[in-house]
Amino acid sequence: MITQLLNLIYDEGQRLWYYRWTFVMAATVVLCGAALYVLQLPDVYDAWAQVLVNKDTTLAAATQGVALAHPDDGNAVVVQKTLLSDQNLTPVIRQLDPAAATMNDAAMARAVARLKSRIHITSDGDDGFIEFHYADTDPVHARNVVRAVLNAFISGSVDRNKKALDDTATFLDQQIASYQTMLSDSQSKLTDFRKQHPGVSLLPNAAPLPLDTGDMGTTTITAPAAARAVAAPPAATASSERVAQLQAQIANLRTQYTDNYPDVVTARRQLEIAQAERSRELANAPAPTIASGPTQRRVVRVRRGPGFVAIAPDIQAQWQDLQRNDEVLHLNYEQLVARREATRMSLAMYSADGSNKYQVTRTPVVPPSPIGPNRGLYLVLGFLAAGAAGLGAAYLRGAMNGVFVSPRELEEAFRLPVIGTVSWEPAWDNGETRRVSRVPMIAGASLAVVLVLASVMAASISDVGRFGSTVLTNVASMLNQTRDR
Amino acid sequence: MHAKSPFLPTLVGTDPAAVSAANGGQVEKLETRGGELKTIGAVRTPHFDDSQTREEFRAIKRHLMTRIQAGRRRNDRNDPRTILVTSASPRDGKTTVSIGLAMSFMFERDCRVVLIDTDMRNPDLSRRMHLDGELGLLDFLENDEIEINDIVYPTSVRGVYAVPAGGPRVAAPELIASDRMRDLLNALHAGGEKHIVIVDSGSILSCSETVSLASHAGQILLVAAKGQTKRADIDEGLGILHRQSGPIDETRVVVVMNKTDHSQSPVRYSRR
Repeated sequence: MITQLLNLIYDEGQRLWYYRWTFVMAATVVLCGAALYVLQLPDVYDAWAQVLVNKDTTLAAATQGVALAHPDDGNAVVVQKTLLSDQNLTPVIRQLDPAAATMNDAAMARAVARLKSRIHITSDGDDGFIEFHYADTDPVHARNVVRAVLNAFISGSVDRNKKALDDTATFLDQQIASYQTMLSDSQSKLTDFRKQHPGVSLLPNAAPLPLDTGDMGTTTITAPAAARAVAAPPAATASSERVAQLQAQIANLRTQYTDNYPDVVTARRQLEIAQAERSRELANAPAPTIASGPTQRRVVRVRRGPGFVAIAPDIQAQWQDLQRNDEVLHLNYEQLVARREATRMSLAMYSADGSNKYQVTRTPVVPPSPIGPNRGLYLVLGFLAAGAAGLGAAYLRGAMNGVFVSPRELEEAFRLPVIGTVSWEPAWDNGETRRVSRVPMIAGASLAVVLVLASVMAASISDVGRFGSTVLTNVASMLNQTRDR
Repeated sequence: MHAKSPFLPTLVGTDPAAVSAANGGQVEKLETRGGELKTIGAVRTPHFDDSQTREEFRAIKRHLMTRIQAGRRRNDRNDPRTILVTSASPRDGKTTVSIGLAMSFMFERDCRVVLIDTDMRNPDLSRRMHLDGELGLLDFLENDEIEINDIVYPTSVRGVYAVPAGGPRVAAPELIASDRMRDLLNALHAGGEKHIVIVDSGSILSCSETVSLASHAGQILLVAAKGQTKRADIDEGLGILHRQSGPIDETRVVVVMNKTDHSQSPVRYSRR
């Protein structure tokens, strides 16, 4: 197997050798073409700008804890996803390209995709520095693109935050209105219940009910019913407020992000901790005493004026449920109102400080030296391509001519015995015909190489000259700016 | 009939100095045993003394000798001692192979080889032997007055004779296809088991004489040059031979690959 493979490689190598001049010609042509193409490639300039997303503005510090925070401002990924959208880039194209006015949707989509692929946004860690890069053969155009993108980023970020806050405020308003309705219903229920059961007015609000096991003026109930009746309502503790606050925060975050967003996950985790803490507090709160025993009868007595009024435990439980619901609704309502105030404060902050939040630390600039193209690499690739083209041409010609390079091939092709070989002796052939026939080919190839080398040299000189003129132009521009300053 | 004459002009002596001089082109004519001053065909095959080249031709000769014996046992219609050396396209090395093969046959005991140049478009064999311009095959075939001895020339190598192509004729293919050509071949074979006739012809695709000769040849030695002869040309040439000169099979046609590398040679002799 390996021997056959080696024989095949050897035969093919020999076949290519017979068409070495084809290889040379094809490789020369391709190499010259590639060299000319590479050398005439225009220089590419990289325009860039830098912006600092300042999370610690004075107003932000002053409103800390009151206004809503946006920790994702300055994240490169977020910026890339939000900025490089068709909605944001279309105005940039319309602003920079005069032909954009006549573009149809498909052409505009292609232009947007092209622009999107050439804009690179990088972030310098967590410091909030974001760089915008755009490479183009026209340095002025590149700078204009970066400037337009920078403006779109700043205005878009402010608008986006304002819109998010507007949406949040709208959501909170809806929730508050809903809670107002529920609170009103709850109050009505409490009033009705109090009318139906006047005795409950004497009960202390949201306090553990005193339980007694006497036999004066009692109403007998079964033990399970009593257990339900004496379930104490949750107290409005700090943990409860924390739970409500986190629930509101999650609701706010969910208006912008998915459940898998890190902040949402973090908030949920904090909510679980707060809920656990609240449960722990409720468990540690003093519980009403309940007489145990399946057959024991209990009496609940409520002091009324000078004496005690007996209230049925189930009535008492219903009353406490209503009170507890009312308190929860009231607490949530107050928190929603507080969040709405925070949202309004944030809106006011963005209106007053939104632009200051984004500081342009480096205006769009174009370095005088181009960043590309990498002509050395391209020439190496061209060299490889020329070799491949030469091999391909030689192989193709060999395949088309179908010459034989080994007795084995000859025998297999015609099924006739090859009884021997005669080694090539150059002296047997006067060679005049061959040499004469090669002269035009060699002369032509040499002439082509000379012409191409001359062209390459001319292109190189032109390239150097263009580079020099670019440098001089930039130096003159810098001198003018210095003088103006 | 002239074809019945088995005698070919032989040189008076085998003086190595005279032969060497003829090889160098310094001596053009030598006296034959018949008292005739005969032009000497110069046989020059550079590097034939190279051990590997000699062995390569020896291997080919052995194959041909074996096939000659087999053909004679089979009583083939055409004498297997008539070896037509041809190729599909020009410049594949037919003349070189013919001369080298003749040189190799020369080493056989009692062997006599007659080289006939039938490449009418490029009579390279006649030129190499400095016999161009002499009476040759076409003159003999056209003119009954000319005898075999008039067109067979001794060469500087003992046992090797040459028949030049002769003057160009328009009717060369028809002359070669004539019975007189067959009679000539029979006469050259007569008198010995090892009287070999090697016919150096033109390429099949360029010379119609070759097709005519193929009908006389007992063996056809097709020369294919490595890296030069195209498969399509061989296909077409074999097709022409098959259609016009009888079936082409391995009993009649063998192939020699010319212009190969020394590494491809089955002979493993080192160069001298």
